[in-house]
Amino acid sequence: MDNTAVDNSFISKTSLPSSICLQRVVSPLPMAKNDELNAVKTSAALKLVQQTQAPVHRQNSFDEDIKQEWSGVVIAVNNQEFTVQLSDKINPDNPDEIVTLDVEEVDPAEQSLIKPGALLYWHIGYRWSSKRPKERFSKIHFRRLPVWSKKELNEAEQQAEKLEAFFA
Amino acid sequence: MRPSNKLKNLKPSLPDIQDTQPASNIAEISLFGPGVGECIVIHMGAGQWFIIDSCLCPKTNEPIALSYLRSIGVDYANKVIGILISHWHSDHIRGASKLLKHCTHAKLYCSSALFSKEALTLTSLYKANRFTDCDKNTEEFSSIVNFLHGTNDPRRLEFIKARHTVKDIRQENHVPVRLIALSPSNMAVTQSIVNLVKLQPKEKSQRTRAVVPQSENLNAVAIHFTFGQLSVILGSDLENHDNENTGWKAVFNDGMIADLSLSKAHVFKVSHHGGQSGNHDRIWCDLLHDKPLAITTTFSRSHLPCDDDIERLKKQSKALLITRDPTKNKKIKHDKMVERELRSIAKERITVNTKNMGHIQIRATEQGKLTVGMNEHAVRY
Ligand SMILES: [Zn+2]
Repeated sequence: MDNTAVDNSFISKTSLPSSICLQRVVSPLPMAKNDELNAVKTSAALKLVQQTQAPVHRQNSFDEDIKQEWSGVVIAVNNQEFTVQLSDKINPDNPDEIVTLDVEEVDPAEQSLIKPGALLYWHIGYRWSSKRPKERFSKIHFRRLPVWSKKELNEAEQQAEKLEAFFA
Repeated sequence: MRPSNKLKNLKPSLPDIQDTQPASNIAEISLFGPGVGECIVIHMGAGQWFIIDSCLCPKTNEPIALSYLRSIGVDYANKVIGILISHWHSDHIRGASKLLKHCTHAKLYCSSALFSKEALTLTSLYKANRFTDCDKNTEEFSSIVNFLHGTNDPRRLEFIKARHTVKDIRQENHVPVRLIALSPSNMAVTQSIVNLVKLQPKEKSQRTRAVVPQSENLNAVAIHFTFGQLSVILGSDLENHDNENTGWKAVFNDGMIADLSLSKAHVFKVSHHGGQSGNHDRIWCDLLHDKPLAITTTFSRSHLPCDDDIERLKKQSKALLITRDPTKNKKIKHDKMVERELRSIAKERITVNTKNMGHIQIRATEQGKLTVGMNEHAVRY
Protein backbone atom coordinates (compact mmCIF):
# COMPACT_ATOMS: atom_id res chain seq x y z
CA MET A 1 0.00 0.00 0.00
CA ASP A 2 1.22 3.40 -0.91
CA ASN A 3 2.35 5.47 2.01
CA THR A 4 0.27 8.45 0.94
CA ALA A 5 -2.95 6.52 1.24
CA VAL A 6 -5.14 7.97 3.92
CA ASP A 7 -7.81 6.47 6.11
CA ASN A 8 -10.99 7.81 4.57
CA SER A 9 -13.46 5.87 6.63
CA PHE A 10 -14.82 9.02 8.24
CA ILE A 11 -15.87 10.52 4.90
CA SER A 12 -18.38 8.06 3.60
CA LYS A 13 -18.94 4.38 3.44
CA THR A 14 -19.20 4.58 -0.32
CA SER A 15 -15.58 5.52 -0.56
CA LEU A 16 -14.58 2.18 0.82
CA PRO A 17 -13.06 -0.31 -1.56
CA SER A 18 -15.52 -2.14 -3.67
CA SER A 19 -14.61 -5.65 -2.70
CA ILE A 20 -17.49 -7.54 -1.20
CA CYS A 21 -15.20 -8.16 1.69
CA LEU A 22 -15.10 -4.69 3.08
CA GLN A 23 -18.62 -3.66 2.17
CA ARG A 24 -19.85 -6.49 4.25
CA VAL A 25 -17.28 -6.18 6.93
CA VAL A 26 -17.53 -2.61 7.83
CA SER A 27 -20.25 -1.80 10.24
CA PRO A 28 -20.85 1.91 10.75
CA LEU A 29 -17.48 3.47 11.37
CA PRO A 30 -17.08 6.61 13.40
CA MET A 31 -18.54 9.22 11.07
CA ALA A 32 -17.52 12.80 11.28
CA LYS A 33 -20.23 15.24 12.29
CA ASN A 34 -21.09 17.90 9.76
CA ASP A 35 -19.03 20.61 11.36
CA GLU A 36 -16.11 18.28 11.68
CA LEU A 37 -16.49 17.31 8.07
CA ASN A 38 -16.45 20.94 7.02
CA ALA A 39 -13.33 21.53 9.04
CA VAL A 40 -11.78 18.56 7.37
CA LYS A 41 -12.75 19.81 3.95
CA THR A 42 -11.03 23.12 4.51
CA SER A 43 -7.89 21.55 5.84
CA ALA A 44 -4.90 20.34 3.98
CA ALA A 45 -6.12 16.90 4.86
CA LEU A 46 -8.62 17.11 2.05
CA LYS A 47 -5.92 17.14 -0.58
CA LEU A 48 -4.63 13.94 0.84
CA VAL A 49 -8.07 12.47 1.08
CA GLN A 50 -8.63 13.21 -2.58
CA GLN A 51 -5.47 11.36 -3.41
CA THR A 52 -6.59 8.40 -1.38
CA GLN A 53 -5.89 5.11 -2.90
CA ALA A 54 -8.12 2.29 -1.98
CA PRO A 55 -6.47 0.25 0.75
CA VAL A 56 -5.21 -3.07 -0.40
CA HIS A 57 -7.94 -5.61 -0.10
CA ARG A 58 -8.25 -8.47 -2.42
CA GLN A 59 -10.50 -7.71 -5.30
CA ASN A 60 -11.61 -11.33 -5.45
CA SER A 61 -15.25 -11.73 -4.66
CA PHE A 62 -15.22 -13.37 -1.29
CA ASP A 63 -18.18 -13.96 0.88
CA GLU A 64 -17.41 -13.22 4.47
CA ASP A 65 -18.85 -13.98 7.84
CA ILE A 66 -17.34 -11.54 10.29
CA LYS A 67 -17.30 -12.98 13.79
CA GLN A 68 -15.38 -10.23 15.52
CA GLU A 69 -14.55 -6.60 14.82
CA TRP A 70 -12.46 -4.35 17.03
CA SER A 71 -11.15 -0.85 16.78
CA GLY A 72 -7.90 -0.43 18.61
CA VAL A 73 -5.04 1.80 19.57
CA VAL A 74 -1.40 0.83 19.96
CA ILE A 75 -0.40 1.51 23.54
CA ALA A 76 3.13 0.12 23.52
CA VAL A 77 5.75 -1.11 21.07
CA ASN A 78 8.53 -3.37 22.22
CA ASN A 79 11.03 -4.76 19.72
CA GLN A 80 9.10 -7.29 17.68
CA GLU A 81 5.94 -7.02 19.78
CA PHE A 82 3.24 -4.43 20.13
CA THR A 83 0.33 -4.05 22.53
CA VAL A 84 -3.09 -2.79 21.52
CA GLN A 85 -6.15 -1.81 23.50
CA LEU A 86 -9.20 -3.13 21.66
CA SER A 87 -12.81 -1.95 21.79
CA ASP A 88 -15.43 -4.41 20.64
CA LYS A 89 -17.42 -2.94 17.74
CA ILE A 90 -19.90 -5.81 17.56
CA ASN A 91 -20.67 -5.96 21.29
CA PRO A 92 -19.85 -2.45 22.51
CA ASP A 93 -20.89 -3.38 26.06
CA ASN A 94 -17.93 -5.73 26.34
CA PRO A 95 -15.01 -4.33 28.30
CA ASP A 96 -11.87 -3.40 26.38
CA GLU A 97 -9.18 -6.00 25.94
CA ILE A 98 -5.44 -5.54 25.84
CA VAL A 99 -3.62 -7.88 23.53
CA THR A 100 0.07 -8.23 22.77
CA LEU A 101 0.88 -9.40 19.26
CA ASP A 102 3.91 -10.10 17.17
CA VAL A 103 4.69 -7.41 14.59
CA GLU A 104 4.71 -10.26 12.07
CA GLU A 105 0.92 -10.47 12.36
CA VAL A 106 0.69 -7.18 10.47
CA ASP A 107 1.00 -6.83 6.71
CA PRO A 108 4.65 -5.82 5.97
CA ALA A 109 3.38 -2.73 4.12
CA GLU A 110 1.72 -1.53 7.30
CA GLN A 111 4.38 -2.45 9.85
CA SER A 112 5.92 1.03 9.66
CA LEU A 113 2.63 2.39 11.04
CA ILE A 114 3.00 0.50 14.33
CA LYS A 115 3.73 3.17 16.89
CA PRO A 116 2.12 4.34 20.12
CA GLY A 117 -1.19 6.02 19.37
CA ALA A 118 -1.66 4.40 15.95
CA LEU A 119 -5.24 3.36 15.28
CA LEU A 120 -6.34 0.11 13.72
CA TYR A 121 -9.22 -2.16 12.91
CA TRP A 122 -9.09 -5.90 13.41
CA HIS A 123 -11.51 -8.33 11.83
CA ILE A 124 -11.73 -12.05 12.44
CA GLY A 125 -14.08 -14.29 10.50
CA TYR A 126 -14.58 -16.83 7.75
CA ARG A 127 -14.41 -16.19 4.07
CA TRP A 128 -15.04 -18.29 1.02
CA SER A 129 -15.73 -18.00 -2.70
CA SER A 130 -16.95 -20.20 -5.50
CA LYS A 131 -13.32 -21.04 -6.28
CA ARG A 132 -11.92 -21.33 -2.77
CA PRO A 133 -13.00 -23.30 0.25
CA LYS A 134 -14.09 -21.67 3.46
CA GLU A 135 -11.17 -20.42 5.52
CA ARG A 136 -10.56 -18.60 8.77
CA PHE A 137 -9.02 -15.16 8.45
CA SER A 138 -7.74 -12.42 10.68
CA LYS A 139 -6.98 -9.02 9.21
CA ILE A 140 -5.35 -6.15 11.07
CA HIS A 141 -5.68 -2.92 9.14
CA PHE A 142 -3.94 0.23 10.32
CA ARG A 143 -5.71 3.53 9.76
CA ARG A 144 -3.72 6.03 7.75
CA LEU A 145 -4.74 9.40 9.10
CA PRO A 146 -3.93 12.72 7.48
CA VAL A 147 -0.65 14.32 8.44
CA TRP A 148 -0.42 17.46 10.55
CA SER A 149 -0.10 20.65 8.54
CA LYS A 150 2.08 23.59 9.47
CA LYS A 151 -1.06 25.74 9.72
CA GLU A 152 -2.69 23.43 12.25
CA LEU A 153 0.45 23.27 14.37
CA ASN A 154 0.88 27.06 14.28
CA GLU A 155 -2.74 27.65 15.23
CA ALA A 156 -2.48 25.26 18.17
CA GLU A 157 0.68 26.94 19.36
CA GLN A 158 -0.96 30.37 19.19
CA GLN A 159 -3.99 29.09 21.08
CA ALA A 160 -1.68 27.53 23.69
CA GLU A 161 0.11 30.86 24.16
CA LYS A 162 -3.22 32.60 24.68
CA LEU A 163 -4.29 30.01 27.27
CA GLU A 164 -0.91 30.08 28.98
CA ALA A 165 -1.20 33.85 29.42
CA PHE A 166 -4.71 33.43 30.84
CA PHE A 167 -3.71 30.80 33.40
CA ALA A 168 -0.33 32.34 34.32
CA MET B 1 3.96 -11.40 37.23
CA ARG B 2 0.21 -11.65 36.85
CA PRO B 3 -1.98 -12.23 39.89
CA SER B 4 -3.17 -15.77 40.47
CA ASN B 5 -5.85 -17.18 42.68
CA LYS B 6 -3.41 -18.66 45.16
CA LEU B 7 -3.70 -15.70 47.53
CA LYS B 8 -6.71 -16.01 49.73
CA ASN B 9 -8.74 -12.93 50.31
CA LEU B 10 -11.10 -12.62 53.23
CA LYS B 11 -14.17 -11.28 51.64
CA PRO B 12 -17.14 -10.50 53.79
CA SER B 13 -15.20 -9.57 56.90
CA LEU B 14 -15.86 -5.84 56.91
CA PRO B 15 -19.09 -3.94 57.38
CA ASP B 16 -20.93 -2.30 54.52
CA ILE B 17 -20.50 1.26 53.40
CA GLN B 18 -22.32 3.85 55.52
CA ASP B 19 -24.87 5.54 53.32
CA THR B 20 -25.36 8.79 55.23
CA GLN B 21 -23.04 11.77 55.43
CA PRO B 22 -20.49 11.80 58.22
CA ALA B 23 -21.03 14.20 61.10
CA SER B 24 -19.02 17.39 60.93
CA ASN B 25 -16.50 16.07 63.48
CA ILE B 26 -15.86 12.86 61.54
CA ALA B 27 -13.36 12.66 58.68
CA GLU B 28 -13.78 10.33 55.73
CA ILE B 29 -11.52 8.85 53.10
CA SER B 30 -13.47 7.00 50.42
CA LEU B 31 -11.44 5.20 47.78
CA PHE B 32 -13.14 4.15 44.53
CA GLY B 33 -11.75 1.91 41.79
CA PRO B 34 -13.54 0.12 38.94
CA GLY B 35 -10.50 -1.95 37.82
CA VAL B 36 -8.81 0.79 35.83
CA GLY B 37 -9.45 4.14 37.48
CA GLU B 38 -9.12 5.83 40.84
CA CYS B 39 -10.95 8.49 42.81
CA ILE B 40 -10.58 9.55 46.45
CA VAL B 41 -13.28 11.54 48.22
CA ILE B 42 -12.23 13.18 51.48
CA HIS B 43 -14.34 14.75 54.19
CA MET B 44 -12.02 17.23 55.89
CA GLY B 45 -14.48 17.86 58.70
CA ALA B 46 -16.96 20.71 59.14
CA GLY B 47 -18.85 19.71 56.00
CA GLN B 48 -15.93 20.46 53.67
CA TRP B 49 -15.02 17.95 50.97
CA PHE B 50 -11.99 17.48 48.76
CA ILE B 51 -11.70 15.16 45.76
CA ILE B 52 -8.51 13.61 44.40
CA ASP B 53 -8.70 12.26 40.82
CA SER B 54 -11.76 11.04 39.01
CA CYS B 55 -13.15 7.93 37.38
CA LEU B 56 -16.58 7.12 36.01
CA CYS B 57 -19.36 5.15 37.63
CA PRO B 58 -19.84 2.16 35.29
CA LYS B 59 -23.62 2.26 35.75
CA THR B 60 -24.34 5.95 35.18
CA ASN B 61 -21.15 7.00 33.37
CA GLU B 62 -20.96 10.06 35.58
CA PRO B 63 -17.98 10.86 37.84
CA ILE B 64 -18.20 8.48 40.80
CA ALA B 65 -17.51 11.32 43.24
CA LEU B 66 -20.73 13.06 42.16
CA SER B 67 -22.80 9.87 42.36
CA TYR B 68 -21.44 9.09 45.80
CA LEU B 69 -21.77 12.56 47.32
CA ARG B 70 -25.31 12.83 45.97
CA SER B 71 -26.16 9.40 47.40
CA ILE B 72 -25.16 10.47 50.91
CA GLY B 73 -26.87 13.84 50.59
CA VAL B 74 -23.89 16.18 50.21
CA ASP B 75 -24.51 19.50 48.45
CA TYR B 76 -21.41 19.12 46.29
CA ALA B 77 -21.91 22.39 44.44
CA ASN B 78 -21.17 24.27 47.66
CA LYS B 79 -19.35 21.80 49.85
CA VAL B 80 -16.54 20.53 47.63
CA ILE B 81 -13.72 23.03 48.09
CA GLY B 82 -11.08 21.45 45.91
CA ILE B 83 -10.46 18.92 43.15
CA LEU B 84 -6.93 17.65 42.66
CA ILE B 85 -5.87 16.01 39.40
CA SER B 86 -2.88 14.10 40.71
CA HIS B 87 -1.47 13.48 37.22
CA TRP B 88 -2.50 13.26 33.59
CA HIS B 89 -3.37 9.61 33.10
CA SER B 90 -6.77 8.52 31.93
CA ASP B 91 -7.24 6.23 34.95
CA HIS B 92 -7.11 9.35 37.15
CA ILE B 93 -8.89 12.05 35.16
CA ARG B 94 -12.00 10.56 33.56
CA GLY B 95 -14.94 12.84 34.33
CA ALA B 96 -12.82 15.52 36.04
CA SER B 97 -14.20 18.26 33.76
CA LYS B 98 -17.74 17.35 34.79
CA LEU B 99 -16.73 17.34 38.44
CA LEU B 100 -15.34 20.81 38.05
CA LYS B 101 -18.50 22.07 36.34
CA HIS B 102 -20.76 20.71 39.08
CA CYS B 103 -18.63 21.60 42.07
CA THR B 104 -18.97 25.31 41.48
CA HIS B 105 -17.08 26.33 44.62
CA ALA B 106 -14.13 24.01 44.04
CA LYS B 107 -10.69 25.08 42.95
CA LEU B 108 -8.78 22.83 40.61
CA TYR B 109 -5.33 21.79 41.85
CA CYS B 110 -2.70 20.20 39.63
CA SER B 111 0.96 20.31 38.70
CA SER B 112 1.95 23.35 36.65
CA ALA B 113 3.29 20.94 34.00
CA LEU B 114 -0.32 20.22 33.02
CA PHE B 115 -0.85 23.88 32.16
CA SER B 116 2.53 24.41 30.51
CA LYS B 117 2.53 25.67 26.95
CA GLU B 118 3.51 22.16 25.83
CA ALA B 119 0.46 20.59 27.48
CA LEU B 120 -1.83 23.35 26.27
CA THR B 121 -0.57 22.86 22.70
CA LEU B 122 -1.59 19.22 22.91
CA THR B 123 -5.06 20.12 24.13
CA SER B 124 -5.40 22.77 21.42
CA LEU B 125 -4.38 20.25 18.79
CA TYR B 126 -7.07 17.92 20.06
CA LYS B 127 -9.71 20.12 18.41
CA ALA B 128 -8.05 19.52 15.07
CA ASN B 129 -7.59 15.82 15.72
CA ARG B 130 -11.12 14.55 15.18
CA PHE B 131 -9.85 11.48 13.45
CA THR B 132 -8.62 9.89 16.62
CA ASP B 133 -12.15 9.89 17.92
CA CYS B 134 -11.60 8.41 21.34
CA ASP B 135 -8.54 10.12 22.69
CA LYS B 136 -9.88 10.16 26.24
CA ASN B 137 -6.77 11.55 27.91
CA THR B 138 -6.63 14.65 25.77
CA GLU B 139 -10.38 15.02 25.37
CA GLU B 140 -10.90 15.19 29.13
CA PHE B 141 -8.05 17.56 29.67
CA SER B 142 -9.14 19.72 26.77
CA SER B 143 -12.62 19.98 28.36
CA ILE B 144 -11.06 21.07 31.66
CA VAL B 145 -8.94 23.75 30.00
CA ASN B 146 -11.84 25.05 27.93
CA PHE B 147 -14.20 25.11 30.90
CA LEU B 148 -11.76 27.01 33.10
CA HIS B 149 -11.00 29.42 30.28
CA GLY B 150 -14.75 29.93 29.80
CA THR B 151 -15.24 30.84 33.47
CA ASN B 152 -12.95 33.84 32.91
CA ASP B 153 -11.69 33.22 36.43
CA PRO B 154 -8.06 32.02 36.45
CA ARG B 155 -8.20 31.89 40.27
CA ARG B 156 -10.16 28.65 40.05
CA LEU B 157 -6.86 27.01 39.13
CA GLU B 158 -4.03 26.58 41.61
CA PHE B 159 -0.73 24.89 40.84
CA ILE B 160 0.52 22.43 43.37
CA LYS B 161 3.97 21.00 44.07
CA ALA B 162 5.96 19.57 46.97
CA ARG B 163 5.37 21.44 50.26
CA HIS B 164 2.27 23.21 48.89
CA THR B 165 -0.31 23.62 51.65
CA VAL B 166 -3.89 23.28 50.50
CA LYS B 167 -5.29 23.52 53.99
CA ASP B 168 -3.73 24.12 57.40
CA ILE B 169 -5.94 24.72 60.41
CA ARG B 170 -4.08 24.56 63.69
CA GLN B 171 -5.81 26.76 66.22
CA GLU B 172 -7.33 26.35 69.63
CA ASN B 173 -10.80 24.82 69.89
CA HIS B 174 -10.52 23.44 66.41
CA VAL B 175 -9.68 19.97 65.17
CA PRO B 176 -6.30 20.28 63.40
CA VAL B 177 -6.76 19.75 59.66
CA ARG B 178 -3.88 19.80 57.18
CA LEU B 179 -3.62 18.82 53.56
CA ILE B 180 -0.10 19.13 52.17
CA ALA B 181 1.48 18.01 48.90
CA LEU B 182 4.58 15.80 49.16
CA SER B 183 5.27 15.97 45.42
CA PRO B 184 6.03 16.74 42.58
CA SER B 185 9.50 18.17 42.99
CA ASN B 186 10.69 21.03 40.80
CA MET B 187 12.81 18.64 38.78
CA ALA B 188 9.88 16.26 38.27
CA VAL B 189 7.80 19.11 36.87
CA THR B 190 10.59 20.10 34.48
CA GLN B 191 11.13 16.51 33.34
CA SER B 192 7.44 16.05 32.86
CA ILE B 193 7.34 19.07 30.54
CA VAL B 194 10.30 17.63 28.61
CA ASN B 195 8.29 14.43 28.15
CA LEU B 196 5.31 16.40 26.90
CA VAL B 197 7.55 18.01 24.28
CA LYS B 198 8.22 14.52 22.93
CA LEU B 199 4.47 14.06 22.40
CA GLN B 200 4.18 17.18 20.21
CA PRO B 201 3.52 16.20 16.62
CA LYS B 202 5.82 17.48 13.92
CA GLU B 203 4.76 18.93 10.60
CA LYS B 204 3.79 16.18 8.17
CA SER B 205 3.81 13.56 10.89
CA GLN B 206 0.79 11.31 10.81
CA ARG B 207 -1.99 11.92 13.31
CA THR B 208 -2.01 9.43 16.12
CA ARG B 209 -3.87 9.32 19.35
CA ALA B 210 -1.82 10.91 22.12
CA VAL B 211 -0.65 8.18 24.46
CA VAL B 212 0.46 9.90 27.62
CA PRO B 213 3.62 8.03 28.66
CA GLN B 214 4.09 6.12 31.90
CA SER B 215 6.70 8.75 32.84
CA GLU B 216 3.82 11.15 33.53
CA ASN B 217 3.81 9.48 36.97
CA LEU B 218 6.81 11.72 37.63
CA ASN B 219 4.35 14.49 38.08
CA ALA B 220 2.09 12.63 40.50
CA VAL B 221 0.92 14.60 43.55
CA ALA B 222 1.17 12.56 46.75
CA ILE B 223 -0.69 14.03 49.72
CA HIS B 224 -0.30 14.07 53.50
CA PHE B 225 -3.70 14.59 55.16
CA THR B 226 -4.22 15.14 58.87
CA PHE B 227 -7.47 15.29 60.81
CA GLY B 228 -7.00 15.45 64.56
CA GLN B 229 -4.83 12.49 65.51
CA LEU B 230 -5.41 10.72 62.22
CA SER B 231 -2.87 11.09 59.41
CA VAL B 232 -3.16 9.55 55.98
CA ILE B 233 -0.71 9.29 53.08
CA LEU B 234 -2.37 9.29 49.66
CA GLY B 235 0.40 8.12 47.35
CA SER B 236 -1.20 8.74 43.93
CA ASP B 237 0.99 6.97 41.31
CA LEU B 238 4.24 8.42 42.62
CA GLU B 239 7.12 6.10 41.78
CA ASN B 240 10.64 5.45 42.99
CA HIS B 241 13.24 6.36 40.35
CA ASP B 242 17.01 6.31 40.19
CA ASN B 243 16.96 10.10 40.15
CA GLU B 244 17.47 11.48 43.66
CA ASN B 245 15.44 14.57 42.81
CA THR B 246 12.21 13.05 41.52
CA GLY B 247 9.61 10.60 42.80
CA TRP B 248 9.72 9.27 46.37
CA LYS B 249 13.48 9.91 46.70
CA ALA B 250 12.85 13.63 46.26
CA VAL B 251 10.28 13.52 49.09
CA PHE B 252 12.87 12.09 51.50
CA ASN B 253 15.83 14.16 50.28
CA ASP B 254 13.86 17.38 50.55
CA GLY B 255 13.63 17.34 54.33
CA MET B 256 9.99 18.42 54.26
CA ILE B 257 8.88 15.75 56.75
CA ALA B 258 10.88 17.42 59.53
CA ASP B 259 10.50 20.97 58.26
CA LEU B 260 6.72 20.75 58.12
CA SER B 261 6.40 18.48 61.20
CA LEU B 262 4.47 15.89 59.21
CA SER B 263 3.17 13.25 61.57
CA LYS B 264 3.38 9.55 60.81
CA ALA B 265 0.28 8.18 59.17
CA HIS B 266 -2.05 5.32 60.14
CA VAL B 267 -3.54 4.85 56.69
CA PHE B 268 -1.70 4.56 53.38
CA LYS B 269 -3.30 4.71 49.94
CA VAL B 270 -0.49 2.71 48.41
CA SER B 271 1.08 4.42 45.44
CA HIS B 272 0.91 3.20 41.87
CA HIS B 273 -1.75 0.56 42.47
CA GLY B 274 0.47 -1.40 44.84
CA GLY B 275 3.16 -1.99 42.21
CA GLN B 276 6.81 -2.36 43.22
CA SER B 277 7.74 0.73 41.20
CA GLY B 278 5.70 2.83 43.63
CA ASN B 279 7.49 1.44 46.68
CA HIS B 280 10.28 3.03 48.71
CA ASP B 281 11.34 1.51 52.04
CA ARG B 282 11.46 4.91 53.73
CA ILE B 283 7.73 5.39 53.13
CA TRP B 284 7.19 2.67 55.73
CA CYS B 285 9.71 4.04 58.24
CA ASP B 286 9.57 7.81 57.84
CA LEU B 287 5.99 8.47 56.81
CA LEU B 288 3.94 5.63 58.31
CA HIS B 289 3.33 4.13 61.73
CA ASP B 290 4.23 0.47 62.10
CA LYS B 291 1.65 -1.74 60.36
CA PRO B 292 -0.70 0.88 58.95
CA LEU B 293 -3.94 0.12 57.16
CA ALA B 294 -3.06 -0.14 53.46
CA ILE B 295 -5.63 0.53 50.76
CA THR B 296 -5.22 0.61 47.01
CA THR B 297 -6.91 0.37 43.64
CA THR B 298 -6.03 -2.07 40.89
CA PHE B 299 -4.72 -1.29 37.44
CA SER B 300 -5.88 -4.37 35.61
CA ARG B 301 -4.23 -3.22 32.37
CA SER B 302 -0.84 -3.96 33.94
CA HIS B 303 -1.82 -6.71 36.41
CA LEU B 304 -1.32 -4.40 39.38
CA PRO B 305 -1.03 -5.32 42.14
CA CYS B 306 0.54 -8.71 41.36
CA ASP B 307 0.97 -11.64 43.80
CA ASP B 308 4.37 -10.42 44.99
CA ASP B 309 3.01 -6.93 45.59
CA ILE B 310 0.12 -8.34 47.62
CA GLU B 311 2.48 -10.52 49.72
CA ARG B 312 4.79 -7.57 50.37
CA LEU B 313 1.93 -5.22 51.29
CA LYS B 314 0.32 -7.82 53.55
CA LYS B 315 3.56 -8.14 55.51
CA GLN B 316 3.98 -4.39 55.83
CA SER B 317 0.43 -3.55 56.88
CA LYS B 318 -2.09 -4.66 59.45
CA ALA B 319 -4.64 -5.15 56.68
CA LEU B 320 -4.61 -4.65 52.94
CA LEU B 321 -7.85 -3.60 51.24
CA ILE B 322 -8.14 -3.43 47.47
CA THR B 323 -11.09 -1.91 45.61
CA ARG B 324 -11.32 -4.88 43.22
CA ASP B 325 -10.07 -8.45 43.32
CA PRO B 326 -6.87 -8.29 41.24
CA THR B 327 -6.87 -12.06 40.81
CA LYS B 328 -10.13 -11.94 38.90
CA ASN B 329 -9.59 -11.33 35.24
CA LYS B 330 -13.00 -12.08 33.86
CA LYS B 331 -12.69 -13.36 30.34
CA ILE B 332 -15.01 -12.10 27.64
CA LYS B 333 -17.06 -14.79 25.96
CA HIS B 334 -16.08 -14.69 22.31
CA ASP B 335 -17.33 -16.80 19.47
CA LYS B 336 -15.47 -20.15 19.56
CA MET B 337 -13.54 -19.51 16.37
CA VAL B 338 -12.56 -16.02 17.51
CA GLU B 339 -11.30 -17.53 20.74
CA ARG B 340 -9.24 -20.10 18.82
CA GLU B 341 -7.78 -17.43 16.59
CA LEU B 342 -6.93 -15.19 19.53
CA ARG B 343 -5.32 -18.05 21.39
CA SER B 344 -3.15 -18.85 18.42
CA ILE B 345 -1.77 -15.36 17.87
CA ALA B 346 -2.09 -13.30 21.06
CA LYS B 347 1.05 -13.43 23.20
CA GLU B 348 -0.77 -11.94 26.16
CA ARG B 349 -4.37 -10.98 26.83
CA ILE B 350 -5.94 -8.86 29.55
CA THR B 351 -9.57 -7.91 29.97
CA VAL B 352 -9.97 -4.38 31.23
CA ASN B 353 -12.67 -5.06 33.77
CA THR B 354 -14.33 -1.79 34.64
CA LYS B 355 -17.93 -2.87 35.04
CA ASN B 356 -18.10 -2.81 38.84
CA MET B 357 -17.03 -0.02 41.14
CA GLY B 358 -15.15 -1.08 44.26
CA HIS B 359 -15.46 1.22 47.26
CA ILE B 360 -13.50 1.34 50.53
CA GLN B 361 -14.82 3.81 53.10
CA ILE B 362 -12.79 4.88 56.13
CA ARG B 363 -14.32 7.19 58.73
CA ALA B 364 -12.34 8.57 61.65
CA THR B 365 -12.93 10.51 64.80
CA GLU B 366 -10.52 13.28 65.75
CA GLN B 367 -8.94 10.82 68.21
CA GLY B 368 -8.10 8.65 65.22
CA LYS B 369 -10.61 5.86 65.85
CA LEU B 370 -11.35 4.23 62.50
CA THR B 371 -14.51 2.66 61.12
CA VAL B 372 -13.80 0.83 57.89
CA GLY B 373 -16.36 -0.45 55.41
CA MET B 374 -16.24 -1.78 51.88
CA ASN B 375 -18.70 -2.85 49.23
CA GLU B 376 -19.04 -6.29 47.67
CA HIS B 377 -16.49 -5.62 44.91
CA ALA B 378 -13.65 -4.71 47.27
CA VAL B 379 -11.45 -7.37 48.86
CA ARG B 380 -9.44 -7.70 52.04
CA TYR B 381 -6.15 -9.56 52.40
ZN1 LIG C 1 -2.91 5.06 37.95
